[in-house]
Amino acid sequence: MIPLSHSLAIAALLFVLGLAVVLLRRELLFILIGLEVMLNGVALTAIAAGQYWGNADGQVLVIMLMTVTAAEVVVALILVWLAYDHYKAVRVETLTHLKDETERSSS
Amino acid sequence: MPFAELINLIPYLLPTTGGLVILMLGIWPKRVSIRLLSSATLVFLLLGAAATLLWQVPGAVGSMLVIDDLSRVFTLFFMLGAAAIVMLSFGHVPIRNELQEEYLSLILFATLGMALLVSSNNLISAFLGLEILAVTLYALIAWQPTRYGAIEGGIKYAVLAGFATAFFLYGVALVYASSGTLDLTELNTVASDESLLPVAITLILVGIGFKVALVPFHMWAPDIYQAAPSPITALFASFSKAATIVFLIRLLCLQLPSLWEALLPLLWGLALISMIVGNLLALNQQNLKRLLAYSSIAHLGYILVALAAGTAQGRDAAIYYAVTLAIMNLGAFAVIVALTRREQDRENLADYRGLGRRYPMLGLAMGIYLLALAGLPPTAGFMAKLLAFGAAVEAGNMMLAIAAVLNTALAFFYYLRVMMEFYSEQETSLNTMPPTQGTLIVIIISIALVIGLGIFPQWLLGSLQLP
Repeated sequence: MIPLSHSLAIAALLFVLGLAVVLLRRELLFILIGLEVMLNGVALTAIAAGQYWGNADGQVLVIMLMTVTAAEVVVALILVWLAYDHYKAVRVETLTHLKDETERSSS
Repeated sequence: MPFAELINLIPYLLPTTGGLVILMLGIWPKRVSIRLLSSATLVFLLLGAAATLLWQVPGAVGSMLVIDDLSRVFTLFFMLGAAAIVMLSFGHVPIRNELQEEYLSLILFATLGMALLVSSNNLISAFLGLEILAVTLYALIAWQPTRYGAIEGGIKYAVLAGFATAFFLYGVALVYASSGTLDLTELNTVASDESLLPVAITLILVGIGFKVALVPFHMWAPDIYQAAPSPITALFASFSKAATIVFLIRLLCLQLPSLWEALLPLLWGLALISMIVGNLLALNQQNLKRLLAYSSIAHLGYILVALAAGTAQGRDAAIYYAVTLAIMNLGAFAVIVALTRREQDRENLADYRGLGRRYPMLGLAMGIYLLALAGLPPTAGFMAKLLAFGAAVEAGNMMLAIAAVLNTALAFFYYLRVMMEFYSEQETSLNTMPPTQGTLIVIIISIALVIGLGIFPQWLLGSLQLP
């Protein structure tokens, strides 16, 4: 049987990999993929821990996680599609209209 | 399932069925007017609020939800708050014509998420509540996609909330890996002898920090405040933040006191930088919604000042502060809704110039909210700061209390700057729409609460019998 620490290490690696994708890639779709990879790291942790402790909570958590994140990604994908539709934006640099205004305007 | 548990479930079932019923009415062959749909939504929310009074305290639903005074007060608060948001949306001219059944059912589902979050006794149900709330908020922020910045705001919130969820869930999974349970009550019994657990709770804290916009996880907040329609900004600036804070309090203070002790230095640091950075960024802000976003960041810092005290007094102060902050923010955004222009919200402070003189009632209301946010007596804002900083002093956190008081003084500057614009001699040439009755009712009730809770804080604190 694989010891818990091995699976936890792999899961942590997966999480960090996803984190790196989110932080480094500039394309919206890749950022969403990175988020999914992070969540898969979480799922692996929960499954390994569930097997280690011998109860079902880990599996319950993973099933909830898959359902809920699927819903989350669906809404996020709709937003990404809307951004492409309205602004032809696939990269985050094109989405920088909202920013601080500290100059006094006189309207 | 015993009958008593079924009664306990009613406040969660009502928003759920309400959301589905409203959606169904949308595909009814005959067109149902939006006024009727809004009234139906209000009925569901008020029934939900009334159903919390049926609760036998203390109770539970399985081991997933715990029914106590804290969850009762806050579920009631969120139901009434969501009713206020529906009334504000109905009176908000730019989105009024695009108000549809989906919008109302999303608000009902968001209420469900908040109610689940504040009463969850298991990390799985907390995760569900948090996500129901977050996913409905993405959709609501991007409502009317052609509006300036709507899509951008929606995407930013979706990515950052997903990011926060990943951290929160990783924390949850590590809690499970280290202790073998997700039940908070059981977790308490194994909490003392685990080394992985503090790391796991810190990850959960990072996830919560993103959701409530603590520095250094605050970058999204001003953009989203600006991008969302004002009633929705009010929803997540007041109620969703309060729900998340209450969950944090339940997790740390009520269920895992030993970990609370261990994490006090972290809370201390987060409180200090949130206050300072929030206030400094707000100082020169010209956009009223962004200014309120930065001021909320600073206020979250004050709440953490109370939590960093590590005492029951600090915990009560934090709960009181969360309620007060929600009401003050709701009121301020209600005034922004009332003064909206036909196509879009007013953005810059200059657009509000002189409006306090033109509309004395609204000007007075905004004045009261701003002074409450700044912390002047006899408002609830003053009492909240007094309790929070008092708890910090009693716990011996002198440095933090002094920093908090200095920050309050700093914050006066930008609140007064908004007041100066409101009561300026010159007047903006931009015309406004007459506010609807619903908006005025929300404004008046929030004023009554801000002043009432400030004079009688025991109204709230007395109804919470915490150990």
